[in-house]
Formats: sequence, C-alpha cells, structure tokens
Amino acid sequence: MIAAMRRIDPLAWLAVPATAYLAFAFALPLGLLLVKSVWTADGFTLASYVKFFADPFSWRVLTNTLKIAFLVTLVTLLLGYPVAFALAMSRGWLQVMLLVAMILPLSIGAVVKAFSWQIVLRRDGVVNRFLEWTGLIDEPVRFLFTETGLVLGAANIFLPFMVLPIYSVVRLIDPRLSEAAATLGAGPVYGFLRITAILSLPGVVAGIAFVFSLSISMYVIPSLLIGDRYQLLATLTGRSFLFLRNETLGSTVAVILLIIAIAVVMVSSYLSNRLRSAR
Amino acid sequence: MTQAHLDIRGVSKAYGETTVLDRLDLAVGRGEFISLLGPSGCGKTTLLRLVAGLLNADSGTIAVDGKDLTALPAHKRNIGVVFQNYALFPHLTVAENVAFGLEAKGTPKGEVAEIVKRTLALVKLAEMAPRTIFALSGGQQQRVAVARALAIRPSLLLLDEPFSALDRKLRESMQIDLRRLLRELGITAVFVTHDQEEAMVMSDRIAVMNRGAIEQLAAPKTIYDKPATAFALEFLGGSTRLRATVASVDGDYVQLDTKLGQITGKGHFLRGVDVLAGVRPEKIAVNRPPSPDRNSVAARVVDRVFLGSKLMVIFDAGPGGQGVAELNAADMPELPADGVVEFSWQIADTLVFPAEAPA
Repeated sequence: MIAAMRRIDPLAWLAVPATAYLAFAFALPLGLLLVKSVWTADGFTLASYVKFFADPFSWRVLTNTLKIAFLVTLVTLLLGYPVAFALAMSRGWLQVMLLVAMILPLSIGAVVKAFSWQIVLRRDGVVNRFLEWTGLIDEPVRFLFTETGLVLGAANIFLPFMVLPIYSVVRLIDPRLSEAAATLGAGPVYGFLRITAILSLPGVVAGIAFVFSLSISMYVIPSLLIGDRYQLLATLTGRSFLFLRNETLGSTVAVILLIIAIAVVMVSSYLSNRLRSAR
Repeated sequence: MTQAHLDIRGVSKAYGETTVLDRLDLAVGRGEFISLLGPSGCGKTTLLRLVAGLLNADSGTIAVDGKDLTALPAHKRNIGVVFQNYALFPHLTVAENVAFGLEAKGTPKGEVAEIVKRTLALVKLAEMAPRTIFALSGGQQQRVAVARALAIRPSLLLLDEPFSALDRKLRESMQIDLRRLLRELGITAVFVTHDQEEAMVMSDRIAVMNRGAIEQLAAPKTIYDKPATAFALEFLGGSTRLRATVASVDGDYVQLDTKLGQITGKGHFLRGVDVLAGVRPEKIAVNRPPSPDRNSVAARVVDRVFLGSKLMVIFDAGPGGQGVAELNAADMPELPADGVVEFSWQIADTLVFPAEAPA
C-alpha cells in the first residue's frame, strides 16, 4: 500500500499546476457566481430561482434552449455518424484529407463561421438563389433569424465534436467481427445493427454529450443567426449581465445552465459506464 | 473419392502486382480434415478467406457438394469459420455468441436455446453460457468460437490458426479434443497453420503450400517419408540437407558431389545439374561399418541436443546445407579430438530434388 502510494505520488504532482490553475480560474469564479445567485442584501435567499421559474418567459427560454440543443444534436448525429465510418474505413491520403477537412474548421472561430452562415442564408444568399434557380420556390425563403437557420448553422459548427468521438470508437472495432457475423449468415444490415452499431454506442454517447452541452451554452452563434428576439439560456445570461445589469438574474440563469450541463455529463458517463460494463 | 465435398478449381488471386494464389486446385473429401501448411505469405489464409467468401477470387471456381459458391457472398455460403483471434462478439455472452448465427437465420427461439445448449455441451462449456467472453480463458474462448461456428450446422468448417494464441501444453490437449469432436460430427474441415506438428496431429491429409501453390497434398506420413519437393522436405519434419552436383548418371541412380564427399542417390537428373540431397534425421547412423548400400560421409559435430531418449546431433553440412542426425542417446560415441565422425545412411533413404531457386 505504502509502496503503491510512493509509486503514484510523483505522477500526481504533475497534475498540481493545472489543478491549481483550474481552481483559481474556473472553480472560484463559478463559486462566486453561485453565491451571487443566492446571496442578496437580505442575506441567503432562493427568491431569484423562484422568480425565474414563476415567469412563463423563463420557461420559453428554457424549452427553446433544450429544443434547439436537441435538434442540433440530432442533425449532427445523422450527418456525422456515416462520416465517422468513412473516416475509420478510409486509408492513406483519403483518410488524411477527411481528417483535415474535419479538424481544420475547428481552427476557425465560431464568429467567422456564424457570419459566413449569415451570408449563405440571407434573402439573396446562396441557398435562396439555388432554390429559386431549381424552381422549388418563387420568392426567397426566410432562413436567417429562424430556428431552422440556427440549427443548420450550429450543427455545421459542432459537427466535428460528433464525428471525432464516434470515429475514435469505430476505428477500434475489429473488422473481423463483421466478417465473423457474415460467415454466421448475417446479411450486411443485420450484422451492422447487431454488432458494429452497438459497439459504436460509447462514441455516440460521447458525441451527443459534447454537442448537446456545446449547444445549450452557445452564445455567439444564436446572437448572429437568430438575434435578440429569440432568447436562449446563454444569451439571456449575457443579456442580464451586459444590458439589464441584473447580476442576480444573470447568475441564476448561469447556474441553471450549469446544472443542465452537469446533468448531461453525468447521464452520459453513466451510460458509457453501463455500455462498457455490458461488454 | 467419387465427388469432392469441397472442390477448388483453378483459383487465382492477386493483389496488384503480387500473385498470392496461382491457379490452385484442391479437392477435399467428405468428413476429411485437411491442413493448409506453409510459411507466412504462402497464400494459405488467402485461400481460406476465398472459400469463406470473405474475398473474391480473380478466377476459378469454389464448389461445395457440387454447388458452385464462387458468386455467393459469405453470409449465403453456410461455411463456418474459426478466426485466428476468435473474433467473438465482445458485447454478447457466451450463449448469445453461439446463438448469433441461428438468430441471423431466423431460427425459432425455443430451437435456438436448445441448439445453443447442445453445442456448448459439445465443447464442454455448458456452465459458461451466461458469462461474458472476457470471463473466459484463451482456451475457453477458442471453444466458444468453435461452438459458434458449429451451431449453424455448416457444410464445411474453416479454421485459421485456431491454436496460435494458446500456450503449448494447452494447445496439444485441445488439438486432440478438437480432432476427436470434428471426427465424431463427421465435419469436413480445412485448417490453416504454419505449425508442422499441429498439421501432423490434426490432419488426414496435409497440403504443403509455398508461394501460392500446393507443393504436395498427401497424408502426413507420406509427406514425411516421400516429400515431393525440397520445400516439403524442409518444411515438414527435420532433415539433413546437402547441396550437391550430379557427377555421373548410372541408370536409375546418380552419383552426387557434396562438400562432404561423394554420395549416391536415386533419381533421374542430367550430369552437372545442381541438386539437393536430403535424409530424415532418424535414418542416419554413426560409425556404422561401411556397406555398399549405404552412403557414408565424415563431418564435424557442431552441437548435440539431448531430448530424453533421443539425441539430436548437429553436424557441419557445408554452406547452404544442414546436418541433423537423430540417434538413440546411448548410440553416441565419445567425440574424437577433431570432432569429426562418420555419418551413414541407406542409399534408398537418400532423397534427391532439383535445387530450388533461392526465394
């Protein structure tokens, strides 16, 4: 026991600087935020939470946030799942190019990407021009400042966070398992559903957790693609601090957002533990 | 053999410029156990994958029971495969692994449970049914793989080095168990291995493969006693091999010049041709009085390996050759100071092959 501790000790020290930094730069401000939401001039009170949940507007913001996050997650999953397999099964140059295509956009900030989506989606943008040219529509459709536009833009920006975790799991699945399934009489679809799809689930859970938590907390993207009149929890937090100067409301919303994020992480780690122990 | 159970005709497979199999023919009888034996890269695993339908042949046909399977995908062939790493499904229990093939075919539930139970009993794993495969030892995992392949009642069982991950002791007992089980079930099996002992233990016949072709297909004893090629001599069993040149021809016999002196062998070769002379180690004796029907050479002993009742004597057979004699431990005399001893063997036991081009 003592020998084991001695062996681990030096390694544990390696984590000290990062832990200290996170305690100072992350845990401390978060703690202050939490305190601010329950501590007013009158002392400790949950009044701000009661007020928040009593207001139908708050409920609309909450459901908007969850709905948008759900849709973004769904779109990235549908688009990203096949891409993860293409990445895992391709070889050589093709794989390098696909990986670059997936990772390079991460180096461009969300602001730039959201602005480009504005250009693409506006009344005289590429999408509307194309639809008019095909004759599907007679006059421009409004995409910008709609939920559709927001979901499309956010899904595009968060796609790599769905693809990469799934890819990292899928590439480790032994291709001989599919061959074994085939020799046992399983057609390609049956074999995929019973073997590969199930073994890919830990990656899917991780991808969903990533994209969902990014989606509920996105701020810049909705600001540019849907505007002020459609509030999400994150934009409401920013608005409370920056425009309404209501720090109690801002910190209350921020804490609610944090609780949702923690719940997502806990559920997903529970699920991936279950999936792992099921093996 | 009236009609071959598995009939492979003229099968070729190439990857780009590299020819892996070259117009290969192989016929396996019903209930027969055949080993494909050869070094890595000889095409044995490729041949197995072609039969399973996991690869497509460039040309040729593969038929089972007279039915051409060449164009059928793997999942319609009903050929069982035991993979080298077993390829067990990690998220399923032992019973679920064995049930997989039956469920894929839509077998009724009650029947599936019955067959799974019976098949697991065959491989003596009945009590392991509800376990995950990670709770099993390597040997048990291999038996699950065998049970999973047998559960679908395959027309043919293919095994790709199924013992290579097991330690030696376990391997030997499992080889004998598996052979007995497959014989009892009357299953036709094709077995890929690079281990000659394994091939000899398991098989009715061995196909010695080299560079994409079968060099000899015969019972293990036949290959050992009468190897068809220098490669078969070298790959199956130990051998003394001497590089030689044909010095003179006398009817059915040839006089050969070797680094150790002149010897006689049987065969038809032209004068001046390079050949390889081979002898099985147990045919060689030491310090036997000379006799006209024996070849005799003096060679320097390099090493002696004691194997209980037997003694392996390694002697210098010149460049490109190898000298091994297997003696009864009591027959080895004291070595003289220079280490040179007289080795002799019957002319009838001298095997002569055309010299192979170096690989």
